[in-house]
Amino acid sequence: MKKGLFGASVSAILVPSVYLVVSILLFVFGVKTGLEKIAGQRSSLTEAGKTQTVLQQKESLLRQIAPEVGAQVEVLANAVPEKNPALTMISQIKNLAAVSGITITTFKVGGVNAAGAVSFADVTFDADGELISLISFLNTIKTLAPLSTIDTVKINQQAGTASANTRIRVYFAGYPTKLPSLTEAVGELTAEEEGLLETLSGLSPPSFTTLFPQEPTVRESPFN
Amino acid sequence: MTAINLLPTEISPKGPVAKISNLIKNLAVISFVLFLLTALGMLAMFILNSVQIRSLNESSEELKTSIKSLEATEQGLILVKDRLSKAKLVLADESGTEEAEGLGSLTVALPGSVALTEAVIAKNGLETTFIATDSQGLTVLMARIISQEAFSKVDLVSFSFNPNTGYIPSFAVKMK
Repeated sequence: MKKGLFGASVSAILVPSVYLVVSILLFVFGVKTGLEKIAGQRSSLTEAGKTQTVLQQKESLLRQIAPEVGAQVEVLANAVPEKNPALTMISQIKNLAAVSGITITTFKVGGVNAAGAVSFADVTFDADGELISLISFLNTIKTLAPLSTIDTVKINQQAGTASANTRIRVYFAGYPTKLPSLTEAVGELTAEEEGLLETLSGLSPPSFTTLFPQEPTVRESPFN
Repeated sequence: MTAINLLPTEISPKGPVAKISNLIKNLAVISFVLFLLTALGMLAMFILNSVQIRSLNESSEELKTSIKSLEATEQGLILVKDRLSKAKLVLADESGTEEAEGLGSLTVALPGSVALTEAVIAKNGLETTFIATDSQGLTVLMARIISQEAFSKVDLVSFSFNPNTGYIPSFAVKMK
């Protein structure tokens, strides 16, 4: 009888204790799992928020610059072209010489150096004219597109006529081949870049002639 | 409602055992209710976050489509930035531009008795040779050279006099 009484007491404590332990285990496991899931979600939410901010900023910037970017590309593609601009520079120098009253006697295009981030080619020419016009002509070369630097100039003057053997360096660089990832931020131009763009916009661009295709015409017979 | 006890009253738990049993039962109920409430709260938060993430993703997809339609502009911007960085490199390269400007300011409006005979413009300096048929012209030339603020250093490389031609000074100039 005593054994039965002892068993009932144990049962009276053991059964609710099992419920309590199960409840606590459920609580602990549920809270731990739930918190992990929610933390993962918060992380995804933050990431999605950041991505959206980047995309919004990018879309807004692209819409804002869309009307003017074409003109900027044209200016800069003239300033630093993709391909060797030696012939373009020769044309620019000839035009400038004609305006400055300078006679260009010889032109020579040297080899291309493509070792660095920007490639260059040397253009050498001989020019004759009045000394003041010649120096003014040399000083105006820096206002021509594509960008160039004066390497050496040897000037001789005799009997009021000056002649200059000039070597300038013209620069070019290949275009970028990859766009950044869609979700990668793109920044607008910095103040320094804006200033540089304004300076380069002042360069005299080369003039190109565009030949438009013409419709075929009837060729007259030369035998009639 | 009357409590029904099917156990013989003599073997039913009494005293502190019954109290502890009730306490544990209450604790079990409370912890289970807490578990349910917490689970419900977390479920609500989970659903709310899911909705927000889905909304953000949908919005991002729309923006991506919009950006794709502006791909030509993006290419232009990348090209502009690339060309500007290249132009900066070119402009940082050494050039004889300043030397050419220095020669221009040196030779402009010289008196008729002074003439430049030779000049070499290089990236790192300017070399000039003049001829002055009289000493007044030479004085003007010297004064002109001294007054050039763009020159950091002027070396008189050679100086000669020939009664038939006049004074022939040669200078090597470094720009600031």
